[in-house]
Amino acid sequence: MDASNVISSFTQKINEPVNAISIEILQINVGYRCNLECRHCHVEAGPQRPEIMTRETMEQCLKVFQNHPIPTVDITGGSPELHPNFKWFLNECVALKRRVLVRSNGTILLEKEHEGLFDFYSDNRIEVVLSLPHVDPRVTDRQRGEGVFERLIEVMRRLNKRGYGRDGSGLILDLVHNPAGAYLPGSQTSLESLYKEAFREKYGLNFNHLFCITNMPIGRYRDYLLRTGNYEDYMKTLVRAFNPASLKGIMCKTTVSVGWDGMLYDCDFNQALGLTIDHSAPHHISAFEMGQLAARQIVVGDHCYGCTAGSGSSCQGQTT
Amino acid sequence: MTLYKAIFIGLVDLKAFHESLVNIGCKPGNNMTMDNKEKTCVEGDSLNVFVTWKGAKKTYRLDKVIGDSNGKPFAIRFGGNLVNAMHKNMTKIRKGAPMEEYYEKKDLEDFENIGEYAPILGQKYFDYYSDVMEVGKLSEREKSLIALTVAATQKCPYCIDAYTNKCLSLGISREEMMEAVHVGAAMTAGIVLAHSTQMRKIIKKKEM
Repeated sequence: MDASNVISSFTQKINEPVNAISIEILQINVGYRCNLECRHCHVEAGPQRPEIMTRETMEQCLKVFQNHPIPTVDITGGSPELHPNFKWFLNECVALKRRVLVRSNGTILLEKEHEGLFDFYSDNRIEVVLSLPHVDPRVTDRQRGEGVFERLIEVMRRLNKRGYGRDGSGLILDLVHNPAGAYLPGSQTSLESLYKEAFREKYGLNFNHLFCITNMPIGRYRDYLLRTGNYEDYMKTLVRAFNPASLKGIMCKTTVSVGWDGMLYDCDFNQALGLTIDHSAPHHISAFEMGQLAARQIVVGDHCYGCTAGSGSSCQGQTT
Repeated sequence: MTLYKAIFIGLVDLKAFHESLVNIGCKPGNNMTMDNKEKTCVEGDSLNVFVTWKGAKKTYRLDKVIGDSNGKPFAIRFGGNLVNAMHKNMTKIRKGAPMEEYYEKKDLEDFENIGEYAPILGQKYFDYYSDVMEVGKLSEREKSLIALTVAATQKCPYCIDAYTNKCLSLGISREEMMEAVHVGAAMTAGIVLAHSTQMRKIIKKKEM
């Protein structure tokens, strides 16, 4: 179903173009391979996905960091840990002396060949961001697969043991919440309290922050909405919840997303939709040009209602 | 006048079925209208239709359970015409059920306009509502569960819709929501039973 049948277009809604203001984060998607097939995954990652970043593209990403003072390296996937050059790449990122964070599905760390990453992450003070949709095991498993919640508890336990999530340790463990159904996330403060209390009381576990992310009506989640007859209602809910104030902090204003093939995008969602950076700014990592990219016009579409609903949504959580 | 009677009915939602077909790459014909129906054939991708029912041992091709009187095999196509079909269905529903206009889901979207005809009072209500729902001594979760319970006891479909979604958004479990509704049910039952006091008082006064 075409969203334009049920809602007014995002471009019309915002009246004027959205422009980037700087590049604080280079988010690098190293490939779509994953050991899980979560029902909300916007890049539709899974064990069979062949897309993988070449070492040459990784080197081009590193060169961009060497040439420009971009403060944050944000590594995502798929499951980034499944990339054959992951450890090498991460070592190189650490050598850049920037803030490095890995968006992990968590469960991969329990597999024998990846268990060493717990120490590697803590030794190199890598920030870990885990997707954990709900404090209720049933809800998390419904979305991410049977037994995932239990494995994530074990992952958190091992990370906490190394100091992650503990005040003063400097080792950051953040969790990501996203709704397991056709509704929007509640307030981040409220959900963070719920998570903190539940994990501390039931499991004795700690984490730093909870990021609430609205599910984008794209990829597998869009299929789910269409299949269950929820698409129209969800899109209308997003539009009704449109909050102009959220535009100020949306992540595309300070982020460039690099696809597995080196193509540049305004965000990971545009990447999933194949909407490369446009409006005369370079759209491949090999042609990275800070001046043009830092002030580029953002490519928007109706999925952008996802990041501008309610309190706003981004890979760093709420934007207002 | 010829009367037709349905032999099979699809329990699936018309629109969802249409969208699912489009989603898997089927092309709708969208060529037949009420005006040209006598002179045209439905276009659109061919569909293989299978049927099954409770107790059936397997799934059957449509041809195996029903035949066309002209002896030819069925040629089922994805006709499309979603908008017309839905309009036709809605018209039927409206004609048959005049109460349909009440409690339409889309009416919830009109809630922001309830200040119409009395804007100052409307604004006062919205300000009051928003202050009450702010986090105070009670948390957002507690207030949402109270609101959901009131919505159920007052039987307001709009509020039930709004606050079920709100509770889901806040990570409130289905068990917590149901427990809250039971509080409402128990309270309502108690209130009804408490009114039997009046009845009993009258009985005691009137009976010899």
